[in-house]
Amino acid sequence: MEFNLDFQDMNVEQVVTDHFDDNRTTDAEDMVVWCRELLDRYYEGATTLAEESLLRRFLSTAKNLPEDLQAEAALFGGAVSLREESTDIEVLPFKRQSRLSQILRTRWVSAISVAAVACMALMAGLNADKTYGYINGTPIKDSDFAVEQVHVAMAYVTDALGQVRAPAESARESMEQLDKVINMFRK
Amino acid sequence: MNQREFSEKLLPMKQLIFRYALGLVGSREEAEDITQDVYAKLWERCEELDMVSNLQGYVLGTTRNLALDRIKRRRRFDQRVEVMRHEERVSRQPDGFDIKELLAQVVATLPDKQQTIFHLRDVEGKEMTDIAATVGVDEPTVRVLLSRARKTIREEMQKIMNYGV
Repeated sequence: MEFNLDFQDMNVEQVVTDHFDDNRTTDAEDMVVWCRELLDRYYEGATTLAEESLLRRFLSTAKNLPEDLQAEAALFGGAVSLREESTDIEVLPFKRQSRLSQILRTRWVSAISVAAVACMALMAGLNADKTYGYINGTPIKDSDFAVEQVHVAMAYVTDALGQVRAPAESARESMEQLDKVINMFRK
Repeated sequence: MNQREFSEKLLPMKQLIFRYALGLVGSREEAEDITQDVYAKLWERCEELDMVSNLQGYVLGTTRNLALDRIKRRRRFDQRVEVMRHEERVSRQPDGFDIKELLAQVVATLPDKQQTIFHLRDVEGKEMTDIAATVGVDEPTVRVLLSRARKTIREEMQKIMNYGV
């Protein structure tokens, strides 16, 4: 039996009564039979928006649905509750852009500052008595190891800058600059 | 795309972006954050947007990527918390689920196109032709992918409701 496709403004019970068209009162069992038939087409992607609307109304309001239709009730119920959601947040992409730029600039400046401080600290160390720093109270005498420690510190800085590409690149550039300065100083 | 075009073409998509994000992450707060992030990202790329032929598809793709990033971060965080606390895994009962979270949990496991098609059809109530244009496939393909998405969701819902897994 074909479904009546022109039932946008009709209620579910009326649709089911018309569907069976046998001059008897529609009962809950008829409704479930109708629902299952329509669901078969729904799962094939063959239902119209109007039919899906009826299914939604039926599955989200029907009481005492059979056990095997509970998953459908959850599926339609979830979609219905999502459909009714809306947000009143004010999206401010233009203002947000300037805020984002500000954050990026701040982070970029932080990366360069840390690099500069690390560089100066290391150069100061290289100039002094060949003790480049201390780890847990132990003096670092090996300049390569000291440089390596600066790199590790810079890697932490880069990592801490998160997933934002621009400052991470800036931090890498800072490390390259740092390498150049150190190498120049060694010469 | 200038500020006026951006406002005219993209700001009206706010509710679509929000519901799509909500359908993937299941939390209003996170969906609102994602909506903000989507607009920030789109505005960053406003010069590229003139070259985008399918703006709605592009916006939904951006939304999905940001939502999935957030889901991954949340999973990593959850894993860390779980390790730190040495908590026993609590068996989850269907009654304990928010229905939107339940749906989001299942939808997030679908392939990209299926996620988008399911959302546009079953949440937004779009016609097949519109969905085909947004996703960039023909109508029969939309029906096939929609069918797969719905069947997968039903199976996963069934598992969760029967076993709470």
